[in-house]
Amino acid sequence: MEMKGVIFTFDAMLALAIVIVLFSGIVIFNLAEPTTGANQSLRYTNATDLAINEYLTGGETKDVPTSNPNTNCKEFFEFSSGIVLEARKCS
Amino acid sequence: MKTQKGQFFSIDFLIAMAIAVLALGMLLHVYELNTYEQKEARIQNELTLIAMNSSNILLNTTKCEAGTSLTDKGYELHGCTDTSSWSGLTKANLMIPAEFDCYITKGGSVAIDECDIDDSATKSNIAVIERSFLEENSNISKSAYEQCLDNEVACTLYAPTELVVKIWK
Repeated sequence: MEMKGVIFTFDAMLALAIVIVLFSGIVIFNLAEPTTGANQSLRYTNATDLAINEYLTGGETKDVPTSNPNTNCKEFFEFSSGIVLEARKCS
Repeated sequence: MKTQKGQFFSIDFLIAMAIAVLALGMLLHVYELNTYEQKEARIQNELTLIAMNSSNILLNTTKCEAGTSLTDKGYELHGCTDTSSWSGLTKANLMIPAEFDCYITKGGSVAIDECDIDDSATKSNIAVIERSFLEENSNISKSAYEQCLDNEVACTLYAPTELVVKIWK
C-alpha cells in the first residue's frame, strides 16, 4: 500500500521507537549509582564532624580529613577537601 | 520482486532477526554488568556502614567528662571525646562482626588492641572512614568550655585528632 506524504513507513517508525526505548533503558541502568546512599552518609558525617569541631573551638578546624582511601574493587574514592567526594579508577 | 522459490525466510526477516539478536545481546550484557555492580555495591555498603557505626560508637559513647560547673547547667559535651578507655574495647563492643577484620588508629597510632594489624593490602573491598574530632581526657570546666565557644582567646582546651576506621572481610 502506498501512502503519499509519509516519509517513514510504520515499520521504520516502530523500529526507531524500539531503538530509542532500548538505548534509554541502557542509559538509565548506567545512571543509577549503587553506592550513593553510603557515600552520601560519609559526606554527611564528615561535614557534621567539621561543623561540630568548628562550633566547639569557635573557629575553623585546622585538621580536616585529606583523604578517604575506600577501595571498591576497581574504584578508589578520595576526599579532596573533606566533604567533596571524587572517584577515579585504580591504576 | 519475483517470488524466490526454495527460500524459507525473506531477507528482511533475516536482517530483522539479526538486529533483534544483537539488541538483546547488548541489553543482556548491560544487565549482567549492572548485576555485578549491584553485588559489589552491596558488599561495599555493608563495610561502610560497619565502619561508620563503629566510629560513631567510639566517638559518642565516651564523651568528655564535664566538670560539675557544666553538668549543673545541663551541658552535654557533643563532639568532644575522652579516649582514655579506648584501648580495652573489643570488636564486639564496636559492633564489628567476628568475620570482619579491622584496623583502627587515632592520630596515626593503633587505638584499639583488637584492631592492631593492617593486612588489608590484598583485599579488593575495604571501607575506610576518617573522623575528625576533639580530644580531651580530663574534666572540662564551664569557663574553659565557654571561652572556646566565644573564641575570645585561641582555644587550647581540646586536641584536634583524627580517627581512622578501616574494615574489610
